[in-house]
Amino acid sequence: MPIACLLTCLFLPGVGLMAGGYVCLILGMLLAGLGFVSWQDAVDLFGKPELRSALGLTFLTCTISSLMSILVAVPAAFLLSRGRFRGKSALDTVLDIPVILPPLVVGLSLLILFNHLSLGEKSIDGWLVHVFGEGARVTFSPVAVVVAQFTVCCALAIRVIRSTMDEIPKRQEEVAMSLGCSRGQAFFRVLLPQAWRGLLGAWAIAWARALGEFGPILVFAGVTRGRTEVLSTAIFLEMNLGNLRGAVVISLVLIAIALVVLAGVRWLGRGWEREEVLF
Amino acid sequence: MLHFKRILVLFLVVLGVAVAGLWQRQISRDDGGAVLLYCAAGLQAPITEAVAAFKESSGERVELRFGGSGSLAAQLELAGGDLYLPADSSYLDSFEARGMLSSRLSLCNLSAGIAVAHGNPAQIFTVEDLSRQGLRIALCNQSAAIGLHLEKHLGSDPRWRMAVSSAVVSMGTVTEVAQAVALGVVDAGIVWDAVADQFQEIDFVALDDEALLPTAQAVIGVLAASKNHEQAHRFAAFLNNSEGGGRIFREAGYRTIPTLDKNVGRVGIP
Repeated sequence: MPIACLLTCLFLPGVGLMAGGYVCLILGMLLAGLGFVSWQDAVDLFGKPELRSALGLTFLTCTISSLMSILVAVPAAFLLSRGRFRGKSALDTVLDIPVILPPLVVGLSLLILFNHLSLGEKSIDGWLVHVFGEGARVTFSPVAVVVAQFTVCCALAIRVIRSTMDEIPKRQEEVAMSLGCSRGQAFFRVLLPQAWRGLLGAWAIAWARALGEFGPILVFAGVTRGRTEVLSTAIFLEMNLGNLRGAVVISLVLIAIALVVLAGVRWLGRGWEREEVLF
Repeated sequence: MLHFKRILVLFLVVLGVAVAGLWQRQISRDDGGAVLLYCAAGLQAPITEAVAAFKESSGERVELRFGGSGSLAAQLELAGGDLYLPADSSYLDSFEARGMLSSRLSLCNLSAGIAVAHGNPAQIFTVEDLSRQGLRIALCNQSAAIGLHLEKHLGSDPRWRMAVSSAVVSMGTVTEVAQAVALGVVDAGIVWDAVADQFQEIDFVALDDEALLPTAQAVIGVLAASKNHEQAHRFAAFLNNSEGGGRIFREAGYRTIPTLDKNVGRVGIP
């Protein structure tokens, strides 16, 4: 009995200690980074046009890859959540591959897919160049950054949206269909409006993941200053130049951007939630 | 429902604007006319400057791709390119043996040595010292030129094997090793002399035994499959020129090789 009492008394402090320890680790990393650099380092670094270009490309590519992920993830998650068909488990497993694969393997596989998979006489890149001209080449171009990010982010988005859809009862869609809605109308008018919080969360996770993506970009898009350089690969370039302070400044900027996006999404979610309660 | 429609419209507008912005970047920087150089990470600083100087003097563009010499070789084989500059010529030997190289030019000598914290507080002077108890050592794996170079020349030396077995980490590029020493994460690491010069926080201890560990050569190779063969060779020649790339390399602390490599022109270079 005294042991049970002791365990009960220690439960909350123990849980708090474990969670607090992890929070301290994260904050410690941030503080160590902040202590390593000065404001002047940041001013010097972002005075360079290449870095401003990398910042711009980072926002563009993360936005496109995360939105495209949502566009593809919604129907895929719907299939997995509501569909009953042969091969569903196999499809589920295949959709997990980009998440479990080592990042460099994703990059290497994309490189081989676009350059060595033969479609008739040419590779995919070969056909794109043949039909649309040199500007349409994907490998080692800004578009390759999006493709590399999308490959990984979409799988994550599917997981999040699927679990959201699983939590929404099918009953309401079935009722809507019994009242005359088609399958599509039930999807757009009943399921999606209820899943918006999950969609927003999936978008935020996809965006943040795209922001930190490095391995596939390094291999498939290359690290070319001012062309395919995004913030995560800019860290690599600055480190190669021996500019450790620059690399840390960029890391802190990445953290700050990720925090702003995640906090913004959380704030939006709460705001809308309150609005729904009011009306 | 109203919210949902608004979000959908916002979604499509943002996606459209972002795609337009990306496409602008994609087409405004058409690669036409640029040669593609795969360059070892350790040579990033002088090569970046040399590319800018080459563009200023000739108007011709060179696009750069950085990484460990070995991983770049793999990328190059898959995606193609015009020039390859590993930090050790042995990578080019393999390319040449397979008929993938049309010519090569030596640029600079690189000596491997021990990078230690400023003032050498751990008193590390020889390869034997690296296996001393309690020291934290970082080495490069064989995807980097220095890793391959060390394994090739010291692989059978028992002192080196001892050092390798006591290393706490193996890294992919020589600059990562230099950074680890500069940050005080490890006590010592093996780096190229010129790479050590880029870090104020580290001292370089030379291994003065040429018989034990010969000097490596950074050699640029023009690839046989290059579509801009003449332009690629012009840039290689610019790097080799003592008043062009040679001056930039010297100013960055590299020991350049002033004369043209004896191999130049042997595979039909104009």
